[in-house]
Amino acid sequence: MKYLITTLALAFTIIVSAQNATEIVRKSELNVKGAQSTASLEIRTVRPTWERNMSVKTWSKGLDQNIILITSPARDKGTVFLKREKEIWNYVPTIERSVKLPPSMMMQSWMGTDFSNDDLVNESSTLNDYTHKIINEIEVEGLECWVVEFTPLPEAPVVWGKIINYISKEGFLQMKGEFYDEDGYLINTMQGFDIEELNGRTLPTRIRMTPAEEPGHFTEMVYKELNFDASLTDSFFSIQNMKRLR
Amino acid sequence: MGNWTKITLFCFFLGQFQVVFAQNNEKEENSWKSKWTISGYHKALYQYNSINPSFVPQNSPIPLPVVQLNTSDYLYHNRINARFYGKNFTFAAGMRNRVFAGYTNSNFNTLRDDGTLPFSGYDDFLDYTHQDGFIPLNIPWFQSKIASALSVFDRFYIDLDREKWHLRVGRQRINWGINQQFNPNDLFNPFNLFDIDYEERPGVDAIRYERYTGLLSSWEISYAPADSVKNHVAAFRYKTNYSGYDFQAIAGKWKTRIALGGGWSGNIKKSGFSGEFTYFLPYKDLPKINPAQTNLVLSTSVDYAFLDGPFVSLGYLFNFRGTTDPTLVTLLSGNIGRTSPYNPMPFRHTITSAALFTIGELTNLTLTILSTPKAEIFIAIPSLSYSINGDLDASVFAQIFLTENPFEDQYTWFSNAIFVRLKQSF
Repeated sequence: MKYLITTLALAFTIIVSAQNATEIVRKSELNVKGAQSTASLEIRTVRPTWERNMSVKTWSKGLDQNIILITSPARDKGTVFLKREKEIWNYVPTIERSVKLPPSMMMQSWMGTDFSNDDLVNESSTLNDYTHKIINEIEVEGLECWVVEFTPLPEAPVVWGKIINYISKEGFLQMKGEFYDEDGYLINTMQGFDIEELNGRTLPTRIRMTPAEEPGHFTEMVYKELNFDASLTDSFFSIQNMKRLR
Repeated sequence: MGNWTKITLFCFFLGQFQVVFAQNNEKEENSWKSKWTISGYHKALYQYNSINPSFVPQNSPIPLPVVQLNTSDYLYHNRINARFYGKNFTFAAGMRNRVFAGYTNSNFNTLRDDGTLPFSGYDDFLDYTHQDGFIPLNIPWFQSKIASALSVFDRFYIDLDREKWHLRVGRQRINWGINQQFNPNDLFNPFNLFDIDYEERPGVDAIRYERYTGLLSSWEISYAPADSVKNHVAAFRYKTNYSGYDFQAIAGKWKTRIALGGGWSGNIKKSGFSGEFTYFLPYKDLPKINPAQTNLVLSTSVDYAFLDGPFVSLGYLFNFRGTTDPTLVTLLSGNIGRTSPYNPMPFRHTITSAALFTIGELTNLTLTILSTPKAEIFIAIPSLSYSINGDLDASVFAQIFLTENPFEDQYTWFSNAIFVRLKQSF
């Protein structure tokens, strides 16, 4: 009996700890996304000998409805990505046609940046498809952070073998993320900089993605506007709405 | 209707109005300029064509009336897309302005009079360069042996777009195709796969009404008038999404036939899998059907993006009315430049494959191959494009036709076209 109680107590502790870690992750996700948000961003892709700039507008509702509209450069203007749950459609304005992206495209670079299609539109899986565990505490950019390890669930359709996320204790800010492949090699590092208040929320306004194996390569996204009080209906995130955006 | 349903609907519509209201306010605060958007590009294109001289022997039993074997064409191409966002409507115009020079322009009349394909049957060079619609929306600026210039509005429409429906009247693109290369569901405005300089694809003069029945589902009815009833196209489409697949069903009148078809787009494991098919039957003597005037066209493809590798696709086109004995003559007489959903390629079986490689991020290399099963006709379309900066691109591409030479009993190239293009977007 005593043994059973100890086991139960231990299991309970583990569950509570896991819930805490998951709760931290959920709060940090909602912090960036809000229940509903609209944003405009500048995206700069840097290489040793050249760089490219892009402007986008984004709309999101919850964690699994998301739209990205490219507003510059002129060549790509009007291109739209719609994500609903696990499916992604790409609207090509020149031929006014929406194409469904196959799952094999998820890990491909998104519009030539260091972000993959998965990074930009499939983020909900970091919450639902992984277990979360606090493994350490450390200071990042002057902020005390929990170090949370994400381990994919056995059958989860995820692309990473492991993710280490650094989430600040104050404000649940995602300050840094390290993405590892299935063999445990570091592939990408995401870092947050320039913590500022945008429409009442404090968060890193400059996010940098650096591939581990490519010296001199990185992509930075800078929030120009961020709004959490937009009123977006579910029908906003529809195939028909992709062609209306501007 | 229950009270709760009414309240939910009321809240739903209120939400809609708020969004629309907010947008209208925003628009009105801005100057008139914010109601207009202008975009487009400039392109310079050089084209070099060659025909293998061994296909044009001096005493040929099938004389190919070719004036010159190696020729050059030059094109300046400008496009302007203008949009006006009114309070309750949108007006859009797409203007394609081109100045042509070079061999085809200078020698068009001779080529046409000799019956050379694909030039025979057109009035003059500018007539050959575009297919006019029901309403004449083109400006032939001038036509001479040195150069010719033409502007065409290939989009010119008014849009009424509401929460639950969408009405578009005018010249527009009605894109019903789902599959990559061949689109038997594209009843209204099929495009020419070999026209490498027409990324927007042609439009059609039509009225189109679409009704949204869900976030991912809708039905649509479209009608494209023509000079004679025989050429009218009117059709219905229903589109939905089920279990990770987009599905569509189409039915309508396509010229002298009834068209019934469907399409899908989804995935098998991680590969994309899509396809579409249309069955055509003559409506004239219904319920009697002349089997010789029916056709089944099916096109399907599978694609996969390799991590740090190429994006590849493999496809197949079945055209029941196509020939099972493909030769150069069937290819040339099939007039592949002006395809239709009824006859997208002159062969019964066509295999398509494509691979896209990204080299050092700024360079894209693609290779598209169209071939009959035993490679009686083999068409390779390689292309290389380089992004000079965000809005300036340079590309080189080619179209190479390989076949059996009937005069020399040898498998060789029949014709080559090489294109060099510079494109500046604005």
